[in-house]
Amino acid sequence: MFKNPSFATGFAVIALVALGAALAGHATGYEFDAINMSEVLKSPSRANWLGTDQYGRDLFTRVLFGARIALRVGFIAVAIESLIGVTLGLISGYLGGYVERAILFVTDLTWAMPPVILAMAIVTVLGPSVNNVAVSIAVVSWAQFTRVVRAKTLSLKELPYIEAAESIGESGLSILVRYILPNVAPSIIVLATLSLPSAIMSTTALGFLGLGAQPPTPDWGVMLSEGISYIEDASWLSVFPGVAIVVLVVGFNFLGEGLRELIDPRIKL
Amino acid sequence: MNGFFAFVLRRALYGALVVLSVTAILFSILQMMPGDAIELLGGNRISKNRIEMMRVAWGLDKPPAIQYLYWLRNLATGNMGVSIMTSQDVAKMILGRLPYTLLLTFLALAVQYLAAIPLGLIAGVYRDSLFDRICVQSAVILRAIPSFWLGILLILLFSVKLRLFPVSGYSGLQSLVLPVLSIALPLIADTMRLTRSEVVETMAEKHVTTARAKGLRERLILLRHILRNSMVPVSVMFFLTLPWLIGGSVVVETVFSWPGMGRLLWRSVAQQDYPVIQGIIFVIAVLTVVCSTVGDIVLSLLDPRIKGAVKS
Amino acid sequence: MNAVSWDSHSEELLRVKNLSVRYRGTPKDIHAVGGISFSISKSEVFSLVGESGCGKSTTAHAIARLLDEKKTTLGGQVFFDGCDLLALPWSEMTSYRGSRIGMIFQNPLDSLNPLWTAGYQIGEAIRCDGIDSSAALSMTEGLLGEVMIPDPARRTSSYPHELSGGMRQRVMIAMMISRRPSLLIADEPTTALDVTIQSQILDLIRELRRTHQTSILLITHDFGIVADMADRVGVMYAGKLMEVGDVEAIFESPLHPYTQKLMKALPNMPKGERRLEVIQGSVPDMSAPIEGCAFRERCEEAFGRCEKWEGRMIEMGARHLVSCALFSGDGEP
Repeated sequence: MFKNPSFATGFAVIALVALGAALAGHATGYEFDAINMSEVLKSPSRANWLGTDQYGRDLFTRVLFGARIALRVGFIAVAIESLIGVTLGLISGYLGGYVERAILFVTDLTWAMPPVILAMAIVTVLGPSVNNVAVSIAVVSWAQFTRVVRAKTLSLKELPYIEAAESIGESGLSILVRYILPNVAPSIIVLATLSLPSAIMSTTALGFLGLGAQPPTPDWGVMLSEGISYIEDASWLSVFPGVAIVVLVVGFNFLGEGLRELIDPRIKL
Repeated sequence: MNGFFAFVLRRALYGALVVLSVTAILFSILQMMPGDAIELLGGNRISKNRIEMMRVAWGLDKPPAIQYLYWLRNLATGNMGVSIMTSQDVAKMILGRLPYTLLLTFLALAVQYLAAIPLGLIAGVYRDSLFDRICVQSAVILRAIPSFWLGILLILLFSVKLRLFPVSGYSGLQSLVLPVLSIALPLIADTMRLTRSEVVETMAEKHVTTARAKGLRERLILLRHILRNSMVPVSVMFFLTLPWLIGGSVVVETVFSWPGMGRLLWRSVAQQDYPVIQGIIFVIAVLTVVCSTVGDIVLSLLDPRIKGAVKS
Repeated sequence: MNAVSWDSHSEELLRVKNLSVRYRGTPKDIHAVGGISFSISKSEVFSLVGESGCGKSTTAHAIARLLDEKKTTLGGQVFFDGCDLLALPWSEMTSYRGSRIGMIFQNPLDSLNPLWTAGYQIGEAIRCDGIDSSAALSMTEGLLGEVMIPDPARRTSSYPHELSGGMRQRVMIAMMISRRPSLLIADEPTTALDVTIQSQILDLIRELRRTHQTSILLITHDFGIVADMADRVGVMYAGKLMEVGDVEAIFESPLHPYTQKLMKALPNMPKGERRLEVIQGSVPDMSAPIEGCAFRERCEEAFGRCEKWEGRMIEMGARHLVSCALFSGDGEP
């Protein structure tokens, strides 16, 4: 697996970010919300590697804590969207008929709005918070799981051993869980990894718009939106949280590409 | 041709159904918003009685479905209601903002495709060359950059440090440069990747060998066979991603204080001014569904095999 | 067996000399063709026959230089009308392809561009000669009539997916004969088609050869087709030519043990399916140049000399050549 250069690069980057997120706070000697009004807007130095923000908080610490939030939202969102998407994909592919048509109609509905706007609407109703952002991203982007899983189920359904299981009276649920799901699982893993980066990017966008995590939560999007007021004097506030986003997203893109090459090269997002 | 006409009609009707369903669902969800604009407006200064009267006046006491039908009936006469915050006519507010958003979106689209298609074509034809590797690697980085952060970086570089472009707002053509680049650059990466992989795939197809075997010059093979065939999936993506662009512009408009529909939506969401939110959501849903419907029709014109499938 | 008798005094059109093709790959190269020589005369049908993977199709593509030259290394010479095609700059090949050398392929669906009409794709070939589009259109209709497609005027505006397999191959043939090439390379032209359509297409090719005196290089793995169509045959195995001779000589008195094996298997097969049968053992590893005779591992008559066999062709009668140590005349086993 590690011979695949994309997978190896992605894995290394993600491992590094995860380590930073785990050690955040211990490693830097600061807390993400430790206000220090005597150290306001200091440029990067020995003491504060990435400088400090408008409340004198250490930016490096906040960026590391931000990784926790990004990873958490990413994983929750992808877990929910794959749960919804895979279930509907299995059902629509296996049952066909009106159920399938109804499910396909619902997937068309999710594609009728740009994801960010749909997520904005949902998060408005749920109220701005980190978990609600995850839910709203999931509600917006489960349909691609349905599309892939449905197509796979349709072709698996025709296989002789599954038809045989049907003929000896095995129930539909049991066939789906015991025969079809294990065969679809590798593609789901690839798809989930490839969906993580877009979930993370949507999170930061919502955070930036003020609809996600709320200050003082060290969300990268929130940090960038706060930093923009100090762009003239403290440009580091506008640079480093963005670098962190790019590093994490590039890492997951590589990881996903690698898994795609290793597991299911035909899968498209 | 008759079959084609029926196909277009069917797609249009289905599109209308999708728009009505999705807006109905979203409007119902918006009704569940915790607290509404009247409370926000009035605060504690107004009596409960007065609030109730205002609710009735705004039609907020009716069930969501009825409110939606009222809204649709008014829409038929071009009336989208009035803003709770500013008491302005919503349709007029949106129409005032829409041109700015469309201007931004279409310029970004033009930049995106005019840059991405030649780059992808050259990278694909000269696969594994230095140029190709630079394109592929920079695409990996470029597509990981959130457009709003790219906007911030561009402001930092060109407005704050170099003082070449205005920071925000709309003050003539030069204020378009930075927002357009922020939207287009990350998208160039995706389109270039797609074009490149399609070109590589098409070049390996046997009909290209046929074209060569019949004595066609390489330039003609490239244009009429490789590029022409690669453009089918690229055109599909064009129409599919157009709505994403409109969505992405919400965030970028906020960064640059661009006087477009996206910024209006953002402000209305913050103020829970839901007649405006509803109006914008409706306009965006219509734009999105029209794009995907036109995309389907264009695809059937570009690829005769699809038209054939529709006929039968 | 063959319809047209072979004129021994006719001029040579194509001479392939010691042609070799190596596909450069990772981790290993593939030596697909290992130095073969043969020639084709004007209006002659020469057939290259062999199992799949023996390099016959690669040879056909190499002659027209249709292989991706970034990934292949060509060796030897290919003289067409006295000019060495392999020595020409790549850009000059366009004046040979289509106009003097036509080529038809195995799968007519993949080989036509799905997005252009049949008429457009044929016209594109004609317009290479600077003919204007209205003249090209009427020529296209004439060609579709010549390849016996009913209602040619309507069919010019059909897309490949709207045509049957046989019709697609007729379109392909019309496209490739449109500029009246003197050599037509047919790479398994009927393999992807139904048996009944096969014979119609073969009839058509035979008819074209009769009316235009076109030379044909016919690549096939079907001895039935060889017997029907060819004047002379070259038998290929693992990138090497084993035996070359008139079709009668090859069928009635095959010399090479490999050819003999193939021939022995023939009468047992039902007519129309006289394809090559499987021989014991497997094809040698082609990731390195083959030392000695390529067939010796599977040959019942192999002896010590075969390990050092250099692959030269020994003349065993009029136009009958064989590459086998048994006939080297040294008498030294």
